[in-house]
Order: sequence, then structure tokens, then C-alpha cells
Amino acid sequence: MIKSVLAALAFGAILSTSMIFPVAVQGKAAFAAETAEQKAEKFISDMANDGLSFLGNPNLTMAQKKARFQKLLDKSFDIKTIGRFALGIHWKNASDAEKEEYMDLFEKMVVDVYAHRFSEYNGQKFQIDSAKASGKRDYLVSSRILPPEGESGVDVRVDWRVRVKDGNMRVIDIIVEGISMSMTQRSDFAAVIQKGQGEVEYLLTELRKTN
Amino acid sequence: MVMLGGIKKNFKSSGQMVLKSLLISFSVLTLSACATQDTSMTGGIADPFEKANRAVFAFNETADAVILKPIAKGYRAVVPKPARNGVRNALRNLKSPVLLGNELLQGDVDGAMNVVTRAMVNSLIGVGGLFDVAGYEGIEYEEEDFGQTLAVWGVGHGPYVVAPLMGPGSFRDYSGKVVDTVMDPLYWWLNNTDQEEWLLVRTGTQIVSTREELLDVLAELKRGAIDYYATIRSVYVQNRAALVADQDKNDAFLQDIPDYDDEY
Repeated sequence: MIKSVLAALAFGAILSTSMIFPVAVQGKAAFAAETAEQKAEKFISDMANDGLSFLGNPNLTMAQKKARFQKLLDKSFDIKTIGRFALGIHWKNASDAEKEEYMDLFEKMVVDVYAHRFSEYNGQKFQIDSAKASGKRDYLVSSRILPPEGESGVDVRVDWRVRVKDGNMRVIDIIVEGISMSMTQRSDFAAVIQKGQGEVEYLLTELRKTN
Repeated sequence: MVMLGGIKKNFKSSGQMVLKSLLISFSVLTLSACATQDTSMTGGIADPFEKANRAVFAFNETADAVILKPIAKGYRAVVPKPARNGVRNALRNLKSPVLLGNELLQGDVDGAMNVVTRAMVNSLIGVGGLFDVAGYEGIEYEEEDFGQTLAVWGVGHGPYVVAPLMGPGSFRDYSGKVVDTVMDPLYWWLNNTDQEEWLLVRTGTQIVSTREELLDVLAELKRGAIDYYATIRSVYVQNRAALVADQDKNDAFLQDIPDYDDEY
């Protein structure tokens, strides 16, 4: 019994040394034309750097941050696609007037919630890991937010779902540690509409309150 | 020798307990298999007890605001971050036997190897698990429990349950918690050596440590939510699915997102 335990420990020790010092093998980047994956990585990297340059800036007021975030959103996010998804099956039943007001309120809510959420950013590092095609028209860019230099803490994995449309890239979902922001938003809205007997108008009433 | 005899005797009864809890969890799971419900409106999980769950959720929110959150905030204020990380690492290290058991039951040999490596490196070099040396070297911690094991075996969540003072869960995941408890050799050792109070200390520390880690995340979720209950339910289901999928967590369940300009 003790012998087999010792053997297992020794095996584990050998294994651990080989695993702790992995040899990094990295191919040289080809000097070919930029692939779509590389474009998606660059798109997210530029967008994140732009965002982090002002969202974590303590010299800006929240109103200033929101104004700049609104611009970033218009440029880099497909807010209409996100909004439609968040409304789920109720999108079909909504009238044109409801859709229009909903989009307006939804965007305001997103600006409010996310400007606040990202203003917590404080010296962490942002790192792009990889990008790959996802479905016919989307790319999934994986990134990590690392604790500030010299500080211990855990990495937070953030994946960006990027849609290519008319040659432009736009974010359609942010997935934090496996949790999709669009999906979560949709669950929230679905519950609100259910409480309002399936009426989209009830959600609009609620959204008006938050704005 | 006397002690050994005591352990042996207790192991006999522990075997019965394990069997009992397994039986309970499987009968619960059979029950849950019957309860099929359209889950598209409830974030991907059946919620037949929604009314009761919402009541318990509200109660938990109050208890959290009055007791747990202030303690977690105090813990953050008093204990510096490196020390808090040490506490978290040590708690994770103590979970190693349960992690290993579940990795093996899931047939995840690489995962099991990682658990063994992490436990050895962190216990020996990481001063009894206070420092996550292995994680720093790229062998990262992976959360495993019997609820996930059941999921790997193909068992669904069953109904969503919000338990008093324990928070969101499902029939499957709460059954898993029972099995994890009896799977833990530390549980038996402390029980057999009359040191049960350490189990309470561990659970208490675990709760405060986890709550502290979630302070900002939960505050932000609450701030952004109209229906906080539905938001947490959705986050719970997604988080569990991501844990079950281990590495490829972020792209396993990508749902198609129709474009704004698509026909419907």
C-alpha cells in the first residue's frame, strides 16, 4: 500500500517537473496578408485600448465617460443586433413603434450599465489570446484581463463575438468566464415581459424608469 | 490502534451513509427527469417552483444584506489582498481529494493529473497551499464537483432550486453537494477525531471568502438588472455549463444570434 503511494508520488513529481517547465514552441508569424482572424484580433485590441484609455481614467466624470462610450458603442458594437437578440421571441410581436422606442431605451441602458461596469478598471492588463471563425459570419476573439503588475489575483477570461457585415466588424456579444452578456440580458427581459403578461410595453415602462 | 479501530468502525457506517445519499440523490434525479418544462423563458432551466424560489431568494437577499455582505466587506477592509488570496488558495488545496475523485469519475485523466500535481506542488513549495505556485506555472485551478460529474454522465439539472441561506442551485447540483461532502476524506477524518468544529470553520471561511470575491460582480449584476432573480438564474445556469465544459467554456454553447437585418 505504502509502496504504491510512494510510486504514485514519484510519478507525480516527475510529471509535475515536466509540466511546470513547458517548452514554449511558437511558430514565426507568416509574412502573408492579414487573415480575417488577425483582423478580428486587431479590431478587438484597438477597441479595447480605446475604451480603456478613458473608462478607467479617474480625471473624467461619469458623464464624460458615458459620452465617449456612446461613441465607441456606435462605432464598434452592433447594438441593433444585440437589442434584437435580447428581446428574444418578443421581437416578432413588437410593433414598429415599440421596436423603435425599445432600441433607443436599450442603448441608453447599455451605455449606463457598461460605462459604470468598466470604470472599475484600474491598472489591469488586457491581453488578446486568439481568434477563430465561429459560424458563417462571426469570429470569436479570446482575451484575458490580468491583474495589475506585481499584484496577485486571477485572470478573467473575456471572449468577444464579432460579426462581419458589409466588410465592417462589430461586437455582438461579450462572454465573461462563460457568461454571455446578451444571453443574461435576454433572460432578464424575458422575465420582465412575462410579468407583464407578455406585453413588450411593460418592459418599455420598466426601461423608461431606469433612464 | 484504538483510533484506527474507531476509523474502521466509522467507515462501515460511512459506507452506509454514502449509499444512502447516493440513493437519495438518484431518486431525486429520477424525479427531476419527470419534470420537463419549457425552459426557453426561464434561462434554460425548468423553474416549476418559481414562486417559492422567488420568496426564498428575497429572504436570502435580506440575510445577505444584513449579515453576509457586511462581513465580506469587513474581511476585504481588514485582510490585505495577498492574505485573502492565500486563504482562497489554501481552501482550494483542501478540496484536492474531492477534485481528484470527480476528475476520475468524469474520466478526465489529464484533469486528475493536474489536481495531483497542483496538490503536491502547492502543499510542498506553496507552503501548505497558501501560494498557488502551480497555477503561476500554468496548471490552473479547475472547479470540480459531483454536480458536474453527473452532468458529464448526461444527467440534466432538474428543477431550479433556491435554498434558504445557500442560494441558487438545482436538484442535480444540490444532490452533488451531498456526495461531495461524503467523498471528502477530511470530513471523515475530522469527524472521527472529534474535530468537527474545523468543518464549520472551513465552511464559514469558504462562504466569506467566496462572498468577498463576488462583491463587485454581484453588485454590478444587480445594478444592471431589472429582474435580479431572473438574471441570477441565467448566470447560474451559464456558469454551471461553463464549468462542466472545462477548457472550451466560452464557445461550447454559442447560440445563433440573428442579425438585426435578418428576416424572421
